[in-house]
Amino acid sequence: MNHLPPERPKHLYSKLDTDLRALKDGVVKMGSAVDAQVARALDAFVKRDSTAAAAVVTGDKQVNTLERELDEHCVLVLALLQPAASDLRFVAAVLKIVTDLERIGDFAVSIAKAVAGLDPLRLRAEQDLVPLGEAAVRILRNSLDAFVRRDVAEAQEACTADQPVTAALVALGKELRNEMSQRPEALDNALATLLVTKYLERIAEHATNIAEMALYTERGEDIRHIVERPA
Amino acid sequence: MADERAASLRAERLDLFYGDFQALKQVSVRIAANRLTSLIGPSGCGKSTLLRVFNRMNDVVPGCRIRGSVEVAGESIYAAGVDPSALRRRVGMVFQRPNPFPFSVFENVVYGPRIHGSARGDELSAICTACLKAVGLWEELREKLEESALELSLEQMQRLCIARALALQPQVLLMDEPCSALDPVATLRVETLMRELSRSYTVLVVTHNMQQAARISDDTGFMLLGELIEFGPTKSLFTHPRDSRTEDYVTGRYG
Repeated sequence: MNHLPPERPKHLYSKLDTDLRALKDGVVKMGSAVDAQVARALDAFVKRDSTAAAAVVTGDKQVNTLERELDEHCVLVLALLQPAASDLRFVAAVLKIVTDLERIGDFAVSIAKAVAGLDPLRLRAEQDLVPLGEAAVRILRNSLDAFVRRDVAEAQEACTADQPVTAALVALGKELRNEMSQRPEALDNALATLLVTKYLERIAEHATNIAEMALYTERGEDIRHIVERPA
Repeated sequence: MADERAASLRAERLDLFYGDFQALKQVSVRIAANRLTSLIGPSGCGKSTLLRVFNRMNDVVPGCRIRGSVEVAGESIYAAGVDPSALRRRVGMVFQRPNPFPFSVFENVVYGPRIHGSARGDELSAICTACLKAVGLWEELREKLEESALELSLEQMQRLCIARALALQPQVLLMDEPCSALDPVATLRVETLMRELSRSYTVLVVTHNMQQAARISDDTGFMLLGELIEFGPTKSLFTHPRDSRTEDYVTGRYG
């Protein structure tokens, strides 16, 4: 990976290295937990599996605990070790990233909770739900990867990766509304599925926020809200 | 250009040698008026030398010579005919260890105007009052003006030394590690005073304490091995420095 920035020299005070590494590991751990939660929730949704859905709701506790631990650790590092420049940007980014991850975790829970109102009737649109969910999770994974590896190119790519996913989800929404008007018996399932498309859109947006934080950490530039995004 | 007027201290392609040793290398910098500017960098990087360039304190070092130009308020201070002691009236200095004279509080403050003959009698009293007020010592010391300055606390002594510098109505205050002899509480109080003074004076501070530079200064310069590596607004220098050497220093990676 020769496009990655060079390894930085170690800190004279090694506890700062240890703590920054622990924060990085914590973000990775929380990221995988959230990633798995979204996948499990979608799976439960398409399979109408209420037991798996309940497990997602319970699993959110671990995500919340990780958020609290990482927040606390960041505050301690800021207070005790007074990081500056790229170290400071890294800690500030971790503080923001854990909030995005926690929100994504909440959307996984919302998807899981939507399982309760479903009946066995199948909708054609559901076939597309899983691949789109996977696409949203892929943005999350790439954003976190860019953050952890300090990969500017990957972060830049992830920043706009939600646009095709959002477009596909919007198209899916239209299809669902058509289905509702043509098959009144499908109304409940179509409404629930429509909600899930909205949750996936939000998940993809939060994932791109993380990519923006990866760019900020590496380059010191805040690119949020600069490019007008399609509504 | 407004910017031009606002530059109070200026060095252009400045080299400084102590004998064969080059202590400053091609330093170009503009220190803005009525702002607080800090110089940071490891020991021996040339920050104190640069500070002392601006009131020609290096002149007393044998074998010291400079190349390049140095201006205070638009005037070249190394030009022929410039009187260093007149310059030092305009460019006051405060040192690391408080160094009051073994006189009374009053005599310390008015020492400059008295020896320069610029004030006498009631004028001296007025100067003493104004300067002690400016450094926040008046309420504490108004009844103790005749007591020896050597009886004061370290913080009071340092404030007194600042008052003594102010008595000559300088435009610029140079401060070389002004808080390094003080405890943390006294440090914060003197830092507050430095911020206040920077509204009326150009204040240039050398400090080893990076957090101090970050807290108090509008602009910060980072020096390394005689070069001014980076100079700019403090908030940029401590959040996203442009030079990787600055980055390594402010993040504690310099070794």
